[in-house]
Amino acid sequence: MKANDYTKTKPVWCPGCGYFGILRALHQTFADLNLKQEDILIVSGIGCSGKFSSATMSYGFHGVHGRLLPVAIGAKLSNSDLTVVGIGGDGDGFSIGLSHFIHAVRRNVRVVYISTDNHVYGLTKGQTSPTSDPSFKTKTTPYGPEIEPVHPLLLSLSSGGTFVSQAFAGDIKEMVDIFKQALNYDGFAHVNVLSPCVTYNHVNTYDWYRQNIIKLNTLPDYDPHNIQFALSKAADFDHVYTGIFYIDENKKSYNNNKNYMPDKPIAKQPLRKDENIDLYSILST
Amino acid sequence: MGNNDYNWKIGGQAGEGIDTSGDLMASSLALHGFNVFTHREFPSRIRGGYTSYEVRFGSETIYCKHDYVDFVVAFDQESIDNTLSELKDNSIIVYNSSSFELSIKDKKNMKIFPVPLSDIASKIGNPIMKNMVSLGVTIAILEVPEEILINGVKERFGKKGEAVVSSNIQAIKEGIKYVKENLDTKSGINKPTLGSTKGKLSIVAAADAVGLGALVAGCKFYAGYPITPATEIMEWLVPRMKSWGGTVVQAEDELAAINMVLGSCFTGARAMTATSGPGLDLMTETIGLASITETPAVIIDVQRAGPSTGMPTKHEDSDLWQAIFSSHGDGNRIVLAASTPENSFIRIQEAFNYADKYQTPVVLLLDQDLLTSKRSVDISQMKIIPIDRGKMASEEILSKNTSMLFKRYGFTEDGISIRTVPSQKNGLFLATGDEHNEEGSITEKPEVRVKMMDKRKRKYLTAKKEMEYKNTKYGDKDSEITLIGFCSAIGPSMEVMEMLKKKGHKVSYVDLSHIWPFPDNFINESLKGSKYNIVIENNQFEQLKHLIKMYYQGSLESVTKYDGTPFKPLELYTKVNEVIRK
Repeated sequence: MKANDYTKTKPVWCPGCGYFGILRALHQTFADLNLKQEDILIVSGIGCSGKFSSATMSYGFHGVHGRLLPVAIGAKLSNSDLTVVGIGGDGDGFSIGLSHFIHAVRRNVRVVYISTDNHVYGLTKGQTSPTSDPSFKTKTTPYGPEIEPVHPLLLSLSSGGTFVSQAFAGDIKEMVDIFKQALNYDGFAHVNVLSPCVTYNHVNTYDWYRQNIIKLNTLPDYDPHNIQFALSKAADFDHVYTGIFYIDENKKSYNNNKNYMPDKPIAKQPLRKDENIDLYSILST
Repeated sequence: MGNNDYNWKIGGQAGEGIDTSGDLMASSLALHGFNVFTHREFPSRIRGGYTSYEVRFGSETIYCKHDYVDFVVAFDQESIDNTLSELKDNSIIVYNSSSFELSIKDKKNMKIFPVPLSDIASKIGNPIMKNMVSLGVTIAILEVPEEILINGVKERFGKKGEAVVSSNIQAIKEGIKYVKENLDTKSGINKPTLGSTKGKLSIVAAADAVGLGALVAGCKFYAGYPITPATEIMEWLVPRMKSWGGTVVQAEDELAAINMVLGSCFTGARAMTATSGPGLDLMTETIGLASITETPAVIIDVQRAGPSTGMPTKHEDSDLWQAIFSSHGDGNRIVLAASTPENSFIRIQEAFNYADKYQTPVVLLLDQDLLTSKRSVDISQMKIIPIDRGKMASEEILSKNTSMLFKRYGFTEDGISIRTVPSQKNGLFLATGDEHNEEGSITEKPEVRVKMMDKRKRKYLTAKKEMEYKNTKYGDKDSEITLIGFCSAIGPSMEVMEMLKKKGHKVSYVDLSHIWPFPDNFINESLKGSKYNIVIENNQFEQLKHLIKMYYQGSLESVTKYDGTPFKPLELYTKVNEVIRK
């Protein structure tokens, strides 16, 4: 399979939008892993990021604003044979849907979550986002939001995240590398992709990111298995890092939970095994 | 009242074993073949607080809680104060004289027995058993054969071991002994007439029936957020779901719950959630999503007194409009209502079939009293209905698809398109909350929009044809007085129907169980020629009356109640008579 085999339509994003790079990297990753189109489910929400599900030749679910993670989790718990990828913007994931993000991290269902983070609301034409810088001026915040942004990676780490990473939409090679690890990871894998919004964010541009990004794996003390290292870098707001912040390969996903999950995928079992059901004995226990 | 229709009640503080003794009384009588209807009152707090358990029993069918109490066991003064208005001339009071001295202003001709329940229980070394002692006292005063209760104990506690069984029996026997040795019960006692009964019955609440119905229907995924009173369904499912091949998830909120359900259903599983009013509010947007993406989903709404937090543990049927109309735009859905434990079991199975067949969200309405009150049920009459998944794409259809995408929303005459699910080759499509074309691709073309809206509408017209005549009219077909209701209105209405019949009227009760799409033909036929059409509903806005008025031009009156309790039969009889006399 080639990357183009996963391409359905060209989304109506602004020319130069970082999302094109993310889409390209995602399709390249599917091709490299030789995934069947019918075994992929892309779940997206509302905003410019909503278009990822309609741009991919696979099964897609394009839901309401902020709720893509519960949909993805429900799908993966019901058919664990599927590759389930949730993609949503910073507004979808860290504003209206923030609680689902934290609980998805805790739940650790085997879903890949790509947050496409451009620090601004694009589709509604340029309002502040939960990841906007406090001084980032928008129509709804003419002086800048002047409140602290949400820090997705710190949130994830403090919620027990076991695959915590960040990528840059202008670096396809690194994205493909991280996406692949995320797709192969048995647990909730989060990739926050820093993505330039060419129309509404004139601060965090391609050039700005290229000048500021530090790749974690170039640091001498880099150790993705060390949570202290991950926390220190996620809390270093003076620098921008990309790469795998933290990965715990020993923890198994909730899909493997023996107390709560049945042995076979839920969606593939017969609805009723036996027509002779002893209602009396069930109701009297 | 009295004789062949007897109402016993026990009251005290939560934690005093009120539910255990009520359950035992009810299940013992049902096991012996008596019809039983129970009613619980409980506070919205964690521990303590007044709680009561009523057991109405007899050899004829019993539909609801009664206005009057024949016999009350009171563990404290509060139990008496809360029951006073239901006591009548020949009611019997047994109170725990170990812990309080009864104060009652108007004793009428009541029979009052102080019994040191705590002391008797302490004497056998188990003060907590005062509830079981009180059951012994009850059956001794009423001359109910003690085997009825002893058999009930064995059936109910048998699994907990011999020691539990024998200590309970000992406490009951101590109660019986006390009555025989100390109380004069020879005269003036209003006792039940224990006529012949048929077979053995079980006591079942709708929470259990609907949970089991879901399992039987193949529901293998439940996501829910705790909310009173709907949580009882989740708690019933948790210990059973895995052995049926499924899982239960406690979601972070109702938004997550309904979206998880959609994700599950999208993969082809059968999934559901259960909630109450405030939770249904939160699910509203996603129900619209299920409607436009044509994703099956089953949502149980256990109605309680609203709006907002309202009275969380109190009864009301006021979510009707919400169930049908919440969510913006012309989104459609199916709304069903259950009215008894038996038909809850049927209705939930239908809900799953309709959800699949019509590729739609289905809201199943229950209410507080129905969910929590246990009733005698002949389990052999609970029907398992065949599973109908509707138009699922067959391998043959899929193999014929040469396009990259599948026309999941194909235009059809009946409005129902062929459905594919992830993992199926040649079945790719996008489910989107945006308006879309036959393959699910987003479009705003006016002509496609109209065709797609019309396709979805046709689907509900098809559904209406199947569902409309599943509504039931009980009683006289050519009734002059027609009562109409949904959910728990059935109980008191059926009793009022019997009372009016005895007065020589032709009466019927229309139980609306398949409410939306609205059964307009059925309603018009049911009300045709009827002089008095009276809607019985537990809400202030007359929600059902106004709903019917959208489709029915004739006269319609409404009898409402919204104090947090279900109608009682005599109370309703009076109100219905007021309408008739007008």
